[in-house]
Amino acid sequence: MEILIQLIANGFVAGWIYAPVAIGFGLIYSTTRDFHFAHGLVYISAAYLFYALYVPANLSFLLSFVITSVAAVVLGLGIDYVIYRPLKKQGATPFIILLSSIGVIIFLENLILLAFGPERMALSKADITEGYQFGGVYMTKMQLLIVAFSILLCLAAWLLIKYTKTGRAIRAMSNDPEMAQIIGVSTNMIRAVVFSAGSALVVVPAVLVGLDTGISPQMGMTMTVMAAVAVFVGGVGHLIGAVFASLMIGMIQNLGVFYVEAKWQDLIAFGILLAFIIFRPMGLLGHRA
Amino acid sequence: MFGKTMRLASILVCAFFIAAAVYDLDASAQQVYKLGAVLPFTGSASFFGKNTRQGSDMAVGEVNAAGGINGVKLEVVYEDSKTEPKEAVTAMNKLVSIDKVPAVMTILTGVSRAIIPIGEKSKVVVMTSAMLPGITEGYKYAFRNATSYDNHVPAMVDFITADLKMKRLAIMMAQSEWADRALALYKSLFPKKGGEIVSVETFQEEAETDFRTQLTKIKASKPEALFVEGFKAVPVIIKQATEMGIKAQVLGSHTLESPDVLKIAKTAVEGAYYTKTAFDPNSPDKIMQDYQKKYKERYGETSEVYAATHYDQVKLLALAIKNKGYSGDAVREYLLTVKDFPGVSGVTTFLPNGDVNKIVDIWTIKDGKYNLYRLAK
Amino acid sequence: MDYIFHLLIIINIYIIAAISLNMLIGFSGILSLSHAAFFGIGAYVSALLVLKIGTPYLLAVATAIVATALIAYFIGKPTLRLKGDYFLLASLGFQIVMFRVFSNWYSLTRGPAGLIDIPRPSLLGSTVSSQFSYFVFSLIVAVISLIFAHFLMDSPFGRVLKAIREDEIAAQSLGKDVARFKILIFIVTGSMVSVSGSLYAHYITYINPYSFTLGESIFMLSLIIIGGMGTLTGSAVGVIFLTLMPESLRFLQLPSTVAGPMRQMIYGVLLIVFVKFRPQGLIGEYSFFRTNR
Repeated sequence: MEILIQLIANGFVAGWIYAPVAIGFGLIYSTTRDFHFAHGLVYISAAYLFYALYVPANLSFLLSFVITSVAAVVLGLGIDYVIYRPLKKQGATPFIILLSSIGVIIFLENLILLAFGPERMALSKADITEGYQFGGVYMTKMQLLIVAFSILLCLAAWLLIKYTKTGRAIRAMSNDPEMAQIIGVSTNMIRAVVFSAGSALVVVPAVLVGLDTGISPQMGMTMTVMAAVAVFVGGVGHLIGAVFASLMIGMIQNLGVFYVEAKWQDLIAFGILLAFIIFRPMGLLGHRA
Repeated sequence: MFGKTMRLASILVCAFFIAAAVYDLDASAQQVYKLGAVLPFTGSASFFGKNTRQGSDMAVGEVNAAGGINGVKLEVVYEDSKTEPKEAVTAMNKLVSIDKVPAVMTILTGVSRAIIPIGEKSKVVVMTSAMLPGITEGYKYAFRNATSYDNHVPAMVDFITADLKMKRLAIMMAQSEWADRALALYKSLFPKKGGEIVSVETFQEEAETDFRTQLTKIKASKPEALFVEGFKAVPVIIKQATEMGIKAQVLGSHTLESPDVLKIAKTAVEGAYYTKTAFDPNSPDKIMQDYQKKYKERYGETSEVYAATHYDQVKLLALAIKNKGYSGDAVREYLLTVKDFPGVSGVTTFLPNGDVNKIVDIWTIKDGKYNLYRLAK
Repeated sequence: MDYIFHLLIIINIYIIAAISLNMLIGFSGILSLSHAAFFGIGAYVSALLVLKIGTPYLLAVATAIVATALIAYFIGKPTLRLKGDYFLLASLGFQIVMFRVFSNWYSLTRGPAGLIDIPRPSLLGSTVSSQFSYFVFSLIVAVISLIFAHFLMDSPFGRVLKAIREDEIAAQSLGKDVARFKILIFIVTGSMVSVSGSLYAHYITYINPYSFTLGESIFMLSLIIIGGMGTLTGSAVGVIFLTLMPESLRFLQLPSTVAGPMRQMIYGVLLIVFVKFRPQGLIGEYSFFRTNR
């Protein structure tokens, strides 16, 4: 019984790691319909930048975090301005945008490889201590922080979307981009907002995961895929759905291990994806078009 | 018109690339004896790549300083296996067909298993220091001069039951062929000494950073001892195990000596015990002392066992070329006659199947340092 | 000389993969990221049959083709009817699922340890063992694929596919059963690349799951982007270019920790540059831009 609860706890944490990244990806996709595949690379680049600032350069945690956040936003916006927007002006189809995104991924991932090497990096400077116990279930400090901060971030995102003017504009663009433009929503401004916000959202999970388990260059692509899965399973345009789906995937992956070997975790996640795409393409919270 | 120009340009570009690719293949006229090496300079086993290269480089330097092999210079052509059998195959094919080496040195089970058949087909000797039991079995051109799990597992089993007097063992190993064999050995030996293997978990070295799901299951099995084996994942696993409150005695092999283990696992790995090929850098033995002195002068650090193993490999292969000739068959013939070669990694005699029998000691980590705990029985 | 044959054999193998992917994406507009999965299925089925039960090579390849076709059908049928982005994600999911299957079904595929000592093909009594003979063998298969692809894409079937690429709704309204065409081309191209996979496995004589990753699918994509979509010559040119370019970089003598990522970074940049400035590839005629630059 104890194992089960521990696995649920682990799954819960895993889900909250995906959630902010998924929201970021979802915001970008639902408003622009661009497959910003490189989103996961922004995530892992942020992790590596933080590592470089915090460990070899030995800057303070706060300073490293602030610089990383700014850099992430600049990176995300930069990719949009330099790569996606000019292509869209020339009439590029989504396929072309996806390809350019893939080009960005390949470039960034290998830049990281070149600069840091392919091995896993550990960010944590702290001593190793036993985690906190909750009736036999162990959670490390980092795991608790991940959950706390992710919940805050997702809450903040939700509140902003629901109650601000910009949020309304985002929702308008998600539902119907053409109509949104007609009623005066500045699509360019919204693009800038979602790319900045999306890229900013990944920083906290990236740093915390780095401190908890370590980072490696391959994690970028994995995270993109997880985020995309969460968004589509949750329902495009429904942020709560993305959060829900992230938690669901995290939990099922970890619980699945109770019955089968750990190596099947990924397969379970993608099995879920395929099942949804085939049988319920509108996702958990979406409506039939 | 424009289309045609583009086509022509593309053809010319291709021709250029073909020429450039072929350019590098000009056989050099200089007479040199070459050996091949397929080592993991990148990837999760890169610790071994660095050290084995240092060992073999030093040996090559010594051979050439003493006048080479019958006056001819010795050179090792290094290729990166990237800890990946697929890459190793490409590298091996290149070494065999372009560099035309008579022998290739390598390490790692997956890599060795992939390139040994190629060596067999092309009559090129492959000398490995991988740990899979029976890796040379059935292959005429395969040799090993290191310990295997056939040596490590019995030593560890004996240590756990006789010294630690523990009966409940959990095992966590990287999914691989050597893990299967090591596990099979544990399963057959441990119960015979009165112990019980309470849980077995595997992980994928390349893909995972979070091992808590497997560790959760291990914790539930209430082990007294936990044996962890893999490469870069090992310190992370030990760290996470401690964080999860797993109090079992940590056990492993010489993988625990790689530099990032102490950096990542820090206090979590204190008091761990591990098996290691009998190789004590501090031994007063003259051969060891001379070797360590030269190694320290050249590289500024103490030599661990795999650097020494590959140092010996180069020396053995150089002797083979010198005494028998520069071909796979000649090298092979010579190696089978080697008896009690005084290598720094241990006295070496090759068995008819190309393998060796070397001893394993028990070491421990105390106050963040590696110490010999007990010599082999 | 052996080394040149090695390069040419790799080129032949990837030309088949590139042509089939081009037929799917370039000609029919079906964007898929699962090509490496089918490449892998062909490789594993063919290698396992010959290794484990000594099946004659031609029969093994035929079985691989049938197996791939069936899997393509079962995956394609429910997913091809979905909108482009959803199908893309489904193909991505399928690619990753297949990688996991190759990697986790240890008792069958030996997982990451891979299959070693895969025999060279035995045809008509003799073994295709030398580099030269494998070159000729792979060349023959590549040429057959090229001819097949050419005739198929030039035929009425091919024309309908191009129409579907341009405007699926229009094609549907003209009475064409779009779904059926899409499934058919998905099966055909999947089967073609499975042949390529078999050639690969029996040439390198070692395969493991890491040859059939999402990264490999993306590599195949870049082959046709750079070569040119919608043209078969383009596929060939793309393959030649992307195979030889890294080889020519060898004479720069970069250390391998630098050379690998460096080469990949060049791919990434090339991809972006081509997409931006020459979307029809080196030779192409179709560019996937709405204004068709």
